[in-house]
Amino acid sequence: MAPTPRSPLGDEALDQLLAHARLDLGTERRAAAGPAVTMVLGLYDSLDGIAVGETPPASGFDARWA
Amino acid sequence: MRPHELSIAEAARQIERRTLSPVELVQSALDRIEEVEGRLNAFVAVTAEQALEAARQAEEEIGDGGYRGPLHGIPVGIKDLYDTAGLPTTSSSAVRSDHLATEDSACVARLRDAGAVVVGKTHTHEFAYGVLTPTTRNPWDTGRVPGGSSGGSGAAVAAGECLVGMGTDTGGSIRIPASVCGTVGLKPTFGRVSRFGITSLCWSLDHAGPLTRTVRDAALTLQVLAGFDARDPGSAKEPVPDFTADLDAGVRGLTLGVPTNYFFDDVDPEVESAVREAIGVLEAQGATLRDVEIPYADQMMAVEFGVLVPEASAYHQEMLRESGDRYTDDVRVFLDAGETVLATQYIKALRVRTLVQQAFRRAFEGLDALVCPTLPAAAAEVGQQTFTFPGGREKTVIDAWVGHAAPGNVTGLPALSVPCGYTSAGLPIGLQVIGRPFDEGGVLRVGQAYGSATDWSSRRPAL
Repeated sequence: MAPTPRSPLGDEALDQLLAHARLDLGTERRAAAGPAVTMVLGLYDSLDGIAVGETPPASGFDARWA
Repeated sequence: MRPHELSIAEAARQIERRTLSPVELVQSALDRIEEVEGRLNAFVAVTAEQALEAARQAEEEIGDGGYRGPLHGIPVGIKDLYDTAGLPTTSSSAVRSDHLATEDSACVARLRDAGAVVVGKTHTHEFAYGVLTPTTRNPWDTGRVPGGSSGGSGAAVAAGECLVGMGTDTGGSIRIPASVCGTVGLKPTFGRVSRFGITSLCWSLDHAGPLTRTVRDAALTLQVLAGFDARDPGSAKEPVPDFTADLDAGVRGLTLGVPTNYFFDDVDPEVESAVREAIGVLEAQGATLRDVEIPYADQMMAVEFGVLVPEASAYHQEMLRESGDRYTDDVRVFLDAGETVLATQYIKALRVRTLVQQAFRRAFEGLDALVCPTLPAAAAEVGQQTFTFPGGREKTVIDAWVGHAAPGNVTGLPALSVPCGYTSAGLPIGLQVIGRPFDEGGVLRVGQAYGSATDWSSRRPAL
């Protein structure tokens, strides 16, 4: 996937993300979360340049009954 | 030498010959706890009465000819993420202060079946989500952190409060405290040891394993812990070999990969010097060294945290809403942040993880193991936020330490940390050995070869 530019995470966008997650944060927690969300999103964005093609995710499911 | 200073192997030898009683050994560990806990605070809870009762039972059983093996009568500390029947599993968090375990986790059950004696629950960085373990101090310098998240087990083993401490490792949480506390730490292959009954940080990256004072002790403990368990969806149906069989086979004939990137990119010069000297010791013993490039170096932390952060938030989703104010700030902020991750972003990280695994398989062609620094820097001071590396590059403590550990978690490969020297400030340095899938025997063999040629493991902190 070609790297897609991301706009800086503004207050409104953060509020929308938190509302989407149904996570109600007070002013102080919301202020602390902003930089952490930006950092985490930046990590995912750094994977934009990796072509995964048909690669499946590294998650496991065993259909056998234990 | 006091009994609590013995290795498991030596204590077991004496217990089997009945020249050392389990009661004497456990009492010695409890006395040591009494002696140093005021300075270390490695334990959430010490179970002295139950431990002495278990030691008396062990003594009686051995006296009746019922010796169970090398862990019979050995004092162990259990990281407070592991359920231990009848005791709280607090995860060193106010959120779980009254969370009582009704059943033993798989590891604790296996340890008890082998006759090991639980002397207490050791501190973790809250819910294993961090590398500092702020409750606890480093035995080599109580002004410094013991690493984490299994910092209580690292401090306790290094100080002689128990002979083995159980840890978990999602982003280095066994190897980090092992390295900075000067113990051996073994993160087995993903799937080798059951995580049933262990509080999860990230199902896809969590591993369980031991911290010990010697490589042989790690092998003896893994022997007890390893094996398939259908209750853990990540458990692997893989035969369990004798982990001590080739322990003393040496490294002659082995080819060890020495990374040309990533692991030596931002490293404290004292650490680099000690690790390169250690690699030289292995070469002098007959190992062939070969340069190797670590694949996906630039994406490693994105995959590690890209998988970890949303899984941790998923685990804590309900507790975060019910008891959010009871988390410490540094943990809560990332639990909050993980709530905003899209499923497609998480799955992208899992897909790149597959590519990393495939690339490591290619990188390992012709290699028996990789050897590199466990961490780029020794123990941080309490309150220290960053390390500054040559060239002026600054990294947070968590990024610096997890960066060196993450390849082991992302690939699931077995990884061992063994002491390989000390900084000029007297702080331990660790050599990391990363092996092929389910070749714990191989990494233990390399670690044992190095440990036998040096005496770092015999040093004790002057508490």
